[in-house]
Amino acid sequence: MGTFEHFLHGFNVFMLAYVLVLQLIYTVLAIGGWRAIEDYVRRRPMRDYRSVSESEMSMPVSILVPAYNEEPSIVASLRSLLKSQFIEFEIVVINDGSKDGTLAALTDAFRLVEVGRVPRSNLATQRVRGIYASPLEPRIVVIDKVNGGKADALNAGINHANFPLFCAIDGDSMLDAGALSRLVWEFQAAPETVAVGGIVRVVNGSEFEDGRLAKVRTPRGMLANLQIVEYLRAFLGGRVGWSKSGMLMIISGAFGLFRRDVCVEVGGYDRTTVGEDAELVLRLHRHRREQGKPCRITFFPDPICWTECPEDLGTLVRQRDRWQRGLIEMMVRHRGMLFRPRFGRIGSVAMPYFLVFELIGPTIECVGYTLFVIAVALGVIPLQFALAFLAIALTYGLVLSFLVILMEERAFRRYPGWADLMRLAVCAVVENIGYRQLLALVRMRAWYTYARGNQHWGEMTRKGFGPLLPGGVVDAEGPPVLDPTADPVLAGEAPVAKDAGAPGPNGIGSEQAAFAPRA
Amino acid sequence: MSVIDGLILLVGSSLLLWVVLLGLAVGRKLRRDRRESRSVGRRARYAGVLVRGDVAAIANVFDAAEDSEARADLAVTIDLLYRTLPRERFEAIGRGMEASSSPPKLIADLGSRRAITRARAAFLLSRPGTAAAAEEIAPLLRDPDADVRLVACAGLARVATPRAAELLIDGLAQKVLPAERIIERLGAPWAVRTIVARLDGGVGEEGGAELEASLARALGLSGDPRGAAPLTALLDSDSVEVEISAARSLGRVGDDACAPALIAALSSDVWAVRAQAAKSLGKLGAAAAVEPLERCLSDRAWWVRANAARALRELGKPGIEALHRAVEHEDRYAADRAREQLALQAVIEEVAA
Repeated sequence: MGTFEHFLHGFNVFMLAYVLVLQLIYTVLAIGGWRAIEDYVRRRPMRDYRSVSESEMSMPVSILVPAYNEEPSIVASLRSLLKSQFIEFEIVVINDGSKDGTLAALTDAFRLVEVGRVPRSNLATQRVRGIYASPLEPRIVVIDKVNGGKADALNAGINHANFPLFCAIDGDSMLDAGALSRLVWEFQAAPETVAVGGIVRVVNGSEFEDGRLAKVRTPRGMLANLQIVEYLRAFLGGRVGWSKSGMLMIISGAFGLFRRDVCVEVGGYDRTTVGEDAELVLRLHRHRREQGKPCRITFFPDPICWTECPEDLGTLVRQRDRWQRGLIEMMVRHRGMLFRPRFGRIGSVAMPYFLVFELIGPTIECVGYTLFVIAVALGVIPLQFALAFLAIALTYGLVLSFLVILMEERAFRRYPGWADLMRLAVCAVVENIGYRQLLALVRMRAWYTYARGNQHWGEMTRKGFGPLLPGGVVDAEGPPVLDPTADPVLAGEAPVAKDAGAPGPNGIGSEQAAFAPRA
Repeated sequence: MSVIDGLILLVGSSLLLWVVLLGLAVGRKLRRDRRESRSVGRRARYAGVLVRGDVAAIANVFDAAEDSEARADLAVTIDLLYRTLPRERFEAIGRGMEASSSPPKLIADLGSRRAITRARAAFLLSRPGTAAAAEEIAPLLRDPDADVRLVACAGLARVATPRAAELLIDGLAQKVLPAERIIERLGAPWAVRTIVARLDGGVGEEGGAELEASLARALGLSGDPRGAAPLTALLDSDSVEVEISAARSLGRVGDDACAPALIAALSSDVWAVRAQAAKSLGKLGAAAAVEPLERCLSDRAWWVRANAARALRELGKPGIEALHRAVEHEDRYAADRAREQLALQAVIEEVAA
């Protein structure tokens, strides 16, 4: 055996060990996730989420809506958000130096009047040109500022938010009507909570009526369905498990609820990264631990944020490239936390996992696939062994994908049709043969774009949500008093209603998918 | 084995595995669909009886709901009906439950090892207006499981008797739950008399100012004018927290008679008390507050100025006149706030016209 063959042999042994360790981690996360979801399903009937949305003693929420050139959609967005089933909230729209008529549209629709409002914090942002209130709708505040990007806009929103909790939502996302109350519940149940993430789900293919989500369906296109399975694996199979072990590092920018005072304490969003949402979460962990303060950052699988995922390959590639760049930036900035016991399990387990399996992992995978084929062709690896290896890898991937589909069926039932189940079942196979490998390639390439200093977000082609424009509220829960499918209270083991709740990206395939889609 | 054989084997075994896994998913879905369908029918039947049936028919429903699934459906149905049916109907449901064989079983369930069983029992035992119900549920306020404590707290509010209010106030004093979770249940007209009596009698060392502040908030939440007198008295408290809570609550339950006390609170050394008093005066619509609020427009605290300006707008014509005067105020901060409120008022009037 020559030197190259020795190298091939050695590398494939390494790959085998790599895959085994990765599968072990996935298994631990999946078991943790399953147990957490079981616990949630058992407890859900005891929890009166409606009282959270109706009680005047509930913690009020500021919803931050950054807007850049959204003249055609912003008013409809706000009207939809105003229908949120939550007792006390304000919507802080941040017009981030739009070049179109965003501010004029808002002024016309809500009869805005310029007012004075002292900021409650002093995060650095681009200059605020004016603050406007609406005499017709006191819950709306509009901040007009010089353009500074999404993180800058969010920081301006935090400065002027009145309430102790804030929720930053993406322009391409819709909230379930009861989503806020479920997240607020977590803060009220555990005062040491700093941030809570909710599940992000794919809305492509669903039906809308009068601007509302009427029926959740899986889309016809393969790419979007693959992302549904991927999201399910990431959220149910990954993030729930990370959260249960107190190591959640990512809360999607599309949907998360944060304590305002703590975020101000750490300096708000970082304005120099494309992954500002995940970076903030890691900084919160770091800061709280450095201060010796309790830090509960958790993930809650029930409240849903619906988002439109890319249906063409080009957009998907750009999106994933951006997510991976965000991850790289985050890890580089906080490399000082790696392997440091003072940062607890975040520094000693979660970050090393992200470093090895999410940051370097795609490169190892791509090189591994190539060398594996060469090794089989050269006879370095016996064919029987190679086939057995592939069979085990595929079996494991399939089992995990079906596990999360079963979790979804057990706990949330958001895709109730038989056609939906069949589509997801087919995608569970394709996800493991082809899709995952493609994404590994894209993520490996992200190192190149990162090295070039690319800070672009990339364009997203959207179909839109029908009459309901982005940033809206989905009223899929249905209010009828005697509707037996309404959210059950004290239902115990009784069948869970079709619209009782929800969870979602790869955790198990690639946790980086957890960076939720952004506008 | 050739490459082709190997690939065929690989594809074949994968296909077989896929079929098995799909079978599992389909089986699970079928079971869930059947259970759901059963549940839908059962809940509809229960609802029909609970809404229209007599005590005997209701007792039969409770007797029939023997297994866990049926009892869960019954609990869900009752919970959903709470939002629409009058209290008398729930008293009838309570009588029906007592006439059934359920109470001893439910009381036994309160000691179950399973949290959901304890919670469901507490829920079903919370019969409105039934003195015994409060005593049955009360121990669960100290349950080791926080979710069960919350269900017990809500259950006591459904019972809604003076004894239930006393138990909730005790829970507040002993901090069995975050104060807000008890206040939101206690803040209703049925509890006002008990709260007032506790405030009159002194909250004792156990609760102190924190309990007083919580009870003040509950009185405000109740919206019951009977709370106005004790809240006015609390405005003289030594605790800033109590003063703020009282000032805020008076804006919801007070009347003109409370205005002098709130006007006096505008002179507090604490800006938060002044700001809250200004806000409440606007809500009360007390004409006597115009002049003091006008003075507050040049308060040293921004929030007091802002609240005073808004309160003046809410006071109607005399307040608006005061804002017009303030536009010429020598203090430009006062003039700014006045201009702002007048601009908002102009839009409101325009839209109304």
